[in-house]
Amino acid sequence: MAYINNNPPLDIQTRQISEQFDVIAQREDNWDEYESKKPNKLSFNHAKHFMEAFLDTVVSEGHSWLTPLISSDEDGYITVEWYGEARQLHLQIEANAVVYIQVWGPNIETEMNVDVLHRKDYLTIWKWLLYG
Amino acid sequence: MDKNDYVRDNEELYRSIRGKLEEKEYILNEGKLRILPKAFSDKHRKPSVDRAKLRDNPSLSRLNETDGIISLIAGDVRALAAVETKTEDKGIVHAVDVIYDPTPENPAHSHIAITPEFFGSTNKQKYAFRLLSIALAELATKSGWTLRPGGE
Repeated sequence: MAYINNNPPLDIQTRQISEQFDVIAQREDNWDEYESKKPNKLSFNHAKHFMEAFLDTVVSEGHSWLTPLISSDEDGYITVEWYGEARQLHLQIEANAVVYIQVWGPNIETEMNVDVLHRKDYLTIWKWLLYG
Repeated sequence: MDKNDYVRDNEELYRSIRGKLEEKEYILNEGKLRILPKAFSDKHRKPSVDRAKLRDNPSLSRLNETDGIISLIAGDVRALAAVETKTEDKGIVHAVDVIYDPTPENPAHSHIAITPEFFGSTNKQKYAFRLLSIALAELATKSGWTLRPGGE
């Protein structure tokens, strides 16, 4: 699976996430020269708390962890991406909600699914990414 | 519409991709290229592409000297959303389309347009541009580099 990090210790996984958030925190408006907004503070804070809870849920149940790509989008929302060989999981973290996009091909209508991610579904969505 | 104004399904399209890894438009994992959705970011939600047939050389489509170029096929872009609306006056309308949009500086300029209301669910309508960026990145990853970053 692409972008897997061979399961380093939890403190390293946590630090890898924290370092990405540190980079994002420095962004100002037009940080990418595409006129994207700087990260929304509420989205940013929500994302940090969400990622802690999500990582804890995955690891405490004994599943492998994959290093995500964390960034922010045009509107300043935090985005998180995981890439597998056949599946991708994308998150858009808003102030009060986490939206997930499951991707198993390029067709938007037939190979992508979009919904709100609830805590009870953390493991379900992770196992979909890992095992299908 | 002049027949030359219509971007045909078999036409190749160039997109400039920022060449520096820290700009997060692509990653290399064990040497394997993956173009990221960020590579199709656009404030107007209409990512720009160039019609290859109107460019003598793909390097002319680079926005910066360090950029790379990927190629997309117009028909593959239109097929990203299998939604077509047939009406008596409009014919077939694509949810994702490639529109020729020349500028004085760039006669090859075109853009990729999305019509969210054609999608089948309200969630997909709301996050249509994000989905489009992911889908375009997937196509670009499969096609690979036409011109490597910084290459001639």
